[in-house]
Amino acid sequence: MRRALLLLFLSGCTGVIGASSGGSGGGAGGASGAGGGSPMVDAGCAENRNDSIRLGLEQACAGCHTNSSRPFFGSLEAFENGLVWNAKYVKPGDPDNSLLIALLEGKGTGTYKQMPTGITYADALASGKATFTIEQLKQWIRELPAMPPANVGPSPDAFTVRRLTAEEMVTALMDQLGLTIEDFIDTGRPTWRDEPYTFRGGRLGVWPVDLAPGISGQYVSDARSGERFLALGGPNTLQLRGRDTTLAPSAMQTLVQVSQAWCGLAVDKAGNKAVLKTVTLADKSATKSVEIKADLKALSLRMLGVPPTDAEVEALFGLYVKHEAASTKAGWVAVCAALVRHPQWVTF
Amino acid sequence: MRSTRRQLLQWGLGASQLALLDRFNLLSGKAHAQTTDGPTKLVTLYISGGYRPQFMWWGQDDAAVDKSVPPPAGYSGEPVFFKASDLVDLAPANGPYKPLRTWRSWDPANPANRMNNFSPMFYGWQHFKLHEQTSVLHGIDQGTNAHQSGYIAAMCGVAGSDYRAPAIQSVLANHLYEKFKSTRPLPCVAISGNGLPVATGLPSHAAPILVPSIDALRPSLSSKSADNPWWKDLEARTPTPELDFRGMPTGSSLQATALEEFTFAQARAFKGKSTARVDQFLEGLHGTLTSVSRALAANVTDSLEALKGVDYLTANRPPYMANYFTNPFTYTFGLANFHQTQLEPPLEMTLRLLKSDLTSAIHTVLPSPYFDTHNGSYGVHFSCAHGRAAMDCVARFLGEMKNTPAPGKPGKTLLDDTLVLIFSEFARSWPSGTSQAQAASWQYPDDHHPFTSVTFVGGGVAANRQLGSYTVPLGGGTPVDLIEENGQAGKRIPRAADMTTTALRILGLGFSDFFIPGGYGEVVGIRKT
Repeated sequence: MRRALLLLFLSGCTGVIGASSGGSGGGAGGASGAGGGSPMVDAGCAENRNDSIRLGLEQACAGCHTNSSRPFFGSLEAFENGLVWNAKYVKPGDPDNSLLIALLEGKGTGTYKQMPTGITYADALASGKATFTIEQLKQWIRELPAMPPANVGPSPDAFTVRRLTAEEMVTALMDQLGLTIEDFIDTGRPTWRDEPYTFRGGRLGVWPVDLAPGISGQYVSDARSGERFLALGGPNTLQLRGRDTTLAPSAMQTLVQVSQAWCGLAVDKAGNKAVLKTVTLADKSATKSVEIKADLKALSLRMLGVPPTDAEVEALFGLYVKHEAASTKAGWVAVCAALVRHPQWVTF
Repeated sequence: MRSTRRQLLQWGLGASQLALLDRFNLLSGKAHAQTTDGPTKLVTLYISGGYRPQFMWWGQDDAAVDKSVPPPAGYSGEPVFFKASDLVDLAPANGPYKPLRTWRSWDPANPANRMNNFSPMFYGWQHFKLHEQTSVLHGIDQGTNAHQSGYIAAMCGVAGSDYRAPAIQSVLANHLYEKFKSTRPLPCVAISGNGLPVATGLPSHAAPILVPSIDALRPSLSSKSADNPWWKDLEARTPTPELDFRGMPTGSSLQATALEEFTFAQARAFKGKSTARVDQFLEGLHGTLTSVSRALAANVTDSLEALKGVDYLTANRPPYMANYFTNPFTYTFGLANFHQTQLEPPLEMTLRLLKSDLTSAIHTVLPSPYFDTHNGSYGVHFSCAHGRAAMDCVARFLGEMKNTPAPGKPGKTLLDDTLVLIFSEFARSWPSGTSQAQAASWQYPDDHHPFTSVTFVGGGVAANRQLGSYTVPLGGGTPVDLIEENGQAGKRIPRAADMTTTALRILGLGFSDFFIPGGYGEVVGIRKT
């Protein structure tokens, strides 16, 4: 029963747009209904008439136009704002002077004369990669309403944060913790900057994996430092791997280890005031609770960029005290590492 | 979890349909218990850069060799290319399908012979009788010829700069999560940080934990201060009820450190402070922190280090490897013109993970050879020699699996309980010539080519079949029989989505257990019925 129901729903997507039963997007809430009521709209899949057109062109176009400088097929929002209501490509009411139609007919005047490239639009129709005839597309443009107001501004349910990239995590954490490359690299030879970097054991160094030249113009020696960079979601430029935009367990798994290792390095580093601003490891909560809380407040502000509330300082103090009995260093590492794993640290 | 699954399906379904689906519990997010006797593990072996499958498996008519395989030649002391008369079937045909057919580069009288233009490379498929559990799908349209996009197509079925469906490894890990929750603490694993599977829209337990080579295991996965000094005085774990992002008990428990518990609470404290989408992100962060805690608490490093990845091949070294070094997953060209060592660590770690039974899905990147040569004639020669040699290492890996009992499954081998997919992001443009006799007529393009092949091996895979083919000389796909997602029979050129669908069907998933934007079908003839 359950399967039959799902098949029923999924098969409902094929009526108008062929086998192209999905696509990304659904953003562009303001566009909903902008072209509603058309027989072209497949209520089962497309959010509105523009979405129906998008899905009907997707297989022919999305391969090249999901990213790059013209990512029209990345989402419905991208399709509408980048193509549909972009007078460069579509002139509402005037298909014969719309570049989109000219390109599909092989009559473009720029670098690309024909879209899709390499085949005609008729070929795309014949193979099922496109589902609307040129005449249907012209009709859509003739009936295209003006851009609705909601598309002018940002969507009210827009995604307002993103995770830090691997590069941002590494550089921000080193800076915030008062660490420099010398804390990770063997600097025993005066010429170390002119040689491949040799990472010291037990420091958990992180470095771009694609062997990008370092300060010295040469390459990094430690493959594990690169592996950690990739695990954090960093790109591999030489192999054309993009950044991971999610915060997968592999990234957090690395950040958990790195946060504790690097916070420990920062606490141990002589003269480093990044974590222990005024107190020392000799100071205990029984006699220096005010000073410890002041440092916790400063550390939280340094790491997260917003002043902590009193309750948040008390929570950090509680975490510190839990570990202080074992060692004050453990208490500071715990607090520091907790701030690195804080939602406001891992996002921008 | 529900919101993310909902979002995923919303790509293809309207809101009213979603409401109905929800009513009938199709969006429950609970993994369905597997009901078939098929494999319960997935290994994906990714060969980097875009390979040339036609030099491994010949799926066309023999007559096409003369115009699409260059005249026999040499590369770094190895023979490359072949004549039609050199092709052999690995076994008699299984039903109305072309059997596995390849260039017999080895000496039939002595497969170890490396003289007189013989090469043992690829003989492993014959030696281990892997045809008994192997089918190959040819002519798959990846929908792109860009590296990142092609890789994502192979991983999830849809080409693009980002995942628009979850990676196949994550789909399986999520599907089997409830069934193996207590015994497989690492539902999804990646051996390399390069090209991690992305679990778009699925719970965090479906996303990969990184388990690198054995020498990097402890810094990555141990939370004991004896291994990593930064855990000193922070390693104590106590049982605690697991809470979801809303603060409600999940019914499970965790062995978490005080620091970990604190970080869970930090994430929960931000619920409802921004948009619903931000809450979804924070829910993912909360789940990810929980997954990492669970993986660290499982202390998998000890069990993985205690295992040997390779047992059978050590005790039963294949005679055809007599003239190579002893490590099981290496090869040498010529006298010592090239010595491959980089396949050893990832394949060895993959075997440890399989034998440990700690995981349901493993993604393994083979770091070498890298086929993105873009070097004309050299590239075509390179891809023939290295492609066959790398696939021979894969055959030895599969041979080890075929001769290892499946943990907890009496009478089954590890290969019976696993589906192994061998793929690249795409293929490379086909050489062509008037005939092999006219050497000067040959063109050797070496660019990206969007039609490729995938090798299916293991439990649930039909024996000794090749499906689909290529048009000659251009290397386009040819139609195959499919069952479309709506249950109707179809015949068309297979797409990446059909490859992933076929794999998931072999693994026991129904069409309603996953969703791939753009449509998908199961290629008929690959799943053993």
